[in-house]
Order: sequence, then C-alpha cells, then structure tokens
Amino acid sequence: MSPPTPETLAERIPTGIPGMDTLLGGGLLRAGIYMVTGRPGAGKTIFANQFCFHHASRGTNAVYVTLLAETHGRMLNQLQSLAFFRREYVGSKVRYLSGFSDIESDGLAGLMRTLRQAVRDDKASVLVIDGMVTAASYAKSEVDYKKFIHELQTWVAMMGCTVLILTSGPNDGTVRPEHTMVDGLVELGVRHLPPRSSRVVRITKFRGSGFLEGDHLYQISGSGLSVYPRCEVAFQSWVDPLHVVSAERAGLGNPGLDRMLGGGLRRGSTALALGSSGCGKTVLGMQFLAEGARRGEKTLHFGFFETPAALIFKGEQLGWPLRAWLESGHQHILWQSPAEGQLDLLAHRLLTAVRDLGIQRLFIDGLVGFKEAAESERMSGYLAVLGEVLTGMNVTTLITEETRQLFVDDVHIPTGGVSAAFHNILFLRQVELDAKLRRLISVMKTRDSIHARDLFEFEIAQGGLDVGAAFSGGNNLMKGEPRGGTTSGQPQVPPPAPRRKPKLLARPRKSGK
Amino acid sequence: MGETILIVDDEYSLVESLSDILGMEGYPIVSARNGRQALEVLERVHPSLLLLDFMMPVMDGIQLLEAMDQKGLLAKIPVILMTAAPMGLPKENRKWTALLIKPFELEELISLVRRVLDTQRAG
Repeated sequence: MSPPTPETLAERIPTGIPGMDTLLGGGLLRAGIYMVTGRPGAGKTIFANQFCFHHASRGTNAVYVTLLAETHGRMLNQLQSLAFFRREYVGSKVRYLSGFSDIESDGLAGLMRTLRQAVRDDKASVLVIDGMVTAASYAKSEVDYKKFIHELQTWVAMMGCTVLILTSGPNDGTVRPEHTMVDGLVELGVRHLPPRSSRVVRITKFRGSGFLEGDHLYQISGSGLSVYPRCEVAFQSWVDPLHVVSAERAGLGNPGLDRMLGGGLRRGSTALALGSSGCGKTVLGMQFLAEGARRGEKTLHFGFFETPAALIFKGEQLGWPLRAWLESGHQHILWQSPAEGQLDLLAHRLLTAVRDLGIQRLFIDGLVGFKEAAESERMSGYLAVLGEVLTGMNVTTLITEETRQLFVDDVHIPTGGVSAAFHNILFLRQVELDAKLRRLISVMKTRDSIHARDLFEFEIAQGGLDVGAAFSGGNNLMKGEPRGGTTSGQPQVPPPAPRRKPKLLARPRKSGK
Repeated sequence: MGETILIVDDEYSLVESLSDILGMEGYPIVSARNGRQALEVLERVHPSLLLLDFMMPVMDGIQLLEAMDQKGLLAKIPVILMTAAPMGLPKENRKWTALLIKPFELEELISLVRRVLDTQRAG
C-alpha cells in the first residue's frame, strides 16, 4: 500500500499562532503528524495549547495527552493567564488525558489504544502528545518506536486528525529516528546575540508544502506565542514589482523646502534626512507629517526616543495641534523603546500599523532604532524590503539618521550599504560662521527627479523649518568649516584654498585588520 | 453476532486501524496480509464483506478476485477494493463491488461499508 500522498492532504489547518501560518504557507496540513521540539521553557506547551484552543474556538475538538509531563492542574493554572485560554472549553472541547498509566502497563500498544479511543470518542480533529520522550523510552527498539509512529500516521489519516508531538531536545541538528517518520519538524530555540537573546522558531521539515526557511523571531506574551517571520522574506509578497511610480508630490509644509525638492517628496518615495544631533531632523519629520495632517492625510510618527507626550509638547511649541490630529486619526504615534527592539518585530509593528491605519505619510525617527535591534549584515536587505513595501503601498516616508560628529572630513551615512534603499537624501548641518552656529540644508540625491544643488540656510521657528534663499556665505560649508564667511551671510571673496566637493560615502566596514 | 468483515492488506498499521474502527462499529474482523493468506482464511470463514487492497506481495488484489471468481465466491461476498493508485487498475472485467481510494477517512469508509452490506442484504 502507498502512504497518503501530500497532495491528497492539502487542506490547511491554521495554527492560531500569529505569524506561524505565514511560515507554513497557510497552516499545517490536515491529518499530518508534526513534531515540536525545544528545550524546557521554549514554549512547546503554549504552542500546542494555543493550537488546541484555536480549534476549539472554531467548533472542533482537541485531545491533549500528557506522558509524565507537568500535571494538568499546573498546566491549566499557567495557561489561564493567557489570552487564548477559555475555561469553558476545558473538558468539553479541549480534553486533557494522561497516557502514562497505559504506557506503563501495556507499553506503546497501550498508549496507541488510549489515543485511538480518545480521538474517536471526542471526534477530535487535533491530538497533542506531550512528553514524547517518555513514549520513546518505553519502546523496545528503534523499530518499535517508528512502528508506533507509523501506526499513528495511518490512524490519524483516516480520522482526519492533525497531531502535534511535543518533545524536548537541544535542536542541535541531530536527526532522530522519529524525525524521518513525521510530516514536519518545528524547532523552538534561542539565538544568542550578546547581550541579547532571542527566541527563534525554525521549520526544518514540512512534507508536501513549501515554507519560510531559516530562523524567525517569536515571543511569548500575555497573548500566547507570536511569530514574526523574517522581514526580508515575510514581506516579499507585499512588494509589487509593477507598482506605478507616482508623479504626485507630497509637500513638506514650507515653500523653500518644497522648491529644493522640485515640489516636495515624490509620493511613495523614501527619504533619508541625515545630520548631526540638534540640527533639526526630528522637526523636519514632524513638519512633513504636520503638512500631511493639515491636508487631511493619515500620518504616522514611528519613533524610538521622544515619547508621545514629549512629541505632543514639541508639536504644540511649533504650532501644530498634534492632540487634535491624534484624536481625529490624522496623526498616529507609535513609540518603541530602542532597548526592546527586535528587528523583525519592529517591521511587523510598523507595516501592520501602516496597512491597518491607511497611512499615507510615515516618519521614522530614526534609523538607529533599527540598528540597535539588528544584526549588522541584515540592515541593507532589511531596509531595501521595508522601502519597497512602503513604496508599493504608496506611503511617502522620511527617516532620520544621525551623523556621529558635528564636523567631519567626509559625509558618511553611518549605516553601511543603505543609501541605495532611499530615493532621496537630505543633509542637514550646523556650521560655525562668525562665532555663530547656522543651520544649512541641501539635497544630496533625488532619484528620477530634479533638485536644487545649492545649500540653503534655515531657521527653526513656528511651523518648523523655514528655508530661505540659497546660501553663499563661503566654501567648505558641508564640512562645517566654512572659509570666507560673513556675519551677514553676504558673499565674500573666497580664499584660495581648493574647494573639495563633499563625498557621500557609506561608512566603511570594519575589516579587522 | 454481526456481519464478519475480512480485511486483506499488507500494511499492518492499516489493518490495525481498520480492525479497530470497524470492530467498534460492531463488525467481527478477520484479516490476512496477502491474497494467498486470504484464500486460506476463506476456506474457514464466510465473511459478509471483503475489504481488499490492490497492491500486495505474493498475490495481489486482482489475482485474489480472479481466484475467488473461479471458486464462485464473488457471487456471495461483496468486495470493496482499496487503492491509492486507481490508474493502475484493469480497465475491463472489473470484479469488485465498490472502490475506495486511499487515503480515505473514517466517515467515508463506514458509510461505504454500510451501503454495500445493505445492498447485499437486500439483494
């Protein structure tokens, strides 16, 4: 006889675990046997119970069989604080049984009888076997154990029941006999990126289906288990390669600024505002959003440093009724602590908010919040996908990035390899001229668009950045070391020193040499 | 005493599962692992229904049907032929009563068994 072919078992069973079904291509396959492995504390029990309660909420029954795992009382005690838990399902739609006495008296055959009877009696479409290590220890041989799983497979195929087998293991790549038998393997593990550790889920086998490979972040919270698929792969399907580039412009709320950019930022484009601390980057971003809110657009401030209260205060000082815009839904603020960031979690929060709130203008303050959460080698790919998705959603985005020093020889983007991810790059500087710090802004790049090539002086006043006429106060201004400046800002005869054009460079990677 | 069902399949786990399910439905079960063993069983037992796998070692399902036909048993015993490869079945001279495509589910199996037995009783 031939075993059931995957094609014939193609009906998907959603797990009810947010993000997990994205990894699985829609869910587990009905009547398959899936092994969930991980060290104690990895969340296997929560994973399985969340699956059971999700099914119960859809009107079907689940049986949860334990084998020398924690007592049912202790398990239920711990589960009841989780959002998915429904006390009314316990004993009716989700039934907990111990299979230990059967396996102790009659070995694997006794356990098989218990499982069959429980599934049949409850008409269960989900079966969990928790503590499979115990079953393995009762097998007389490896063949015996494999035979048990094979029998279980045949049985559940007929019953249309999907099985989760929970087992402890170090996830060290060791292939155990039962791994060859089951239809899928889900590993719950930990990735150490000192000083931080992240919980990661990895699918290493899924018969009859494609899946998102590699490590994906997961978290356990009051909602239960949530998976955040790696941004680079999870959102690829959101990217529309045939997205039509918009010619429409999103104004920045100041005629001088808009003139510099040929009328504003192109709709759906991403812009980087680069500059040192205190030069006005956040104000520029808030101004960009304020102009959108004033026009009745939906805007989002996604920040890492200034809290919503601080932003409201700042906005009011600059003349923007943030509180009213927040109430009317024209502005939203999502504040993240930079210390808590997880790169994929941030992308999910951001893009989900953008999609769900129908955001048209987005301000991310700043790029460093993602860098704090990132493995450095991922940043360029991550930002490229993020930018492509936002462009595909026609969201006009402004992101800030802080240069490390006030006065430098070359203009670096501190995050390496990311300049290609931005359609526009604005550079804000403070320069010392006649014992005064003066603020300048220039456009260093606009893709497929014409922009002013001059430097412009600006003031921060009510309404944000007020950009004046082109500045002609000297040379070497971009480096913050002007030569030939005047106190009045009027042109002065420049000194003979050769003017070196500032270079836009990615920060060189450390070679270790 | 219910109507005995003879299950003929080389897949041990399937025989176990079918025996368990149909046993719970009240049918006495006998089993054999291939066509030749089944012929031996048929010398001693007179089942009301035969659940027969198509592909088996020693003597497959079609060969068993031929042998049963020659012995005149097919007139008395309805046969449900089970297979995961219906494309491999002979196009002509089909001697089975009903076909069950693997993998099948419990409800499908039980309703077919009941239907075939009802027809047999009526006929």
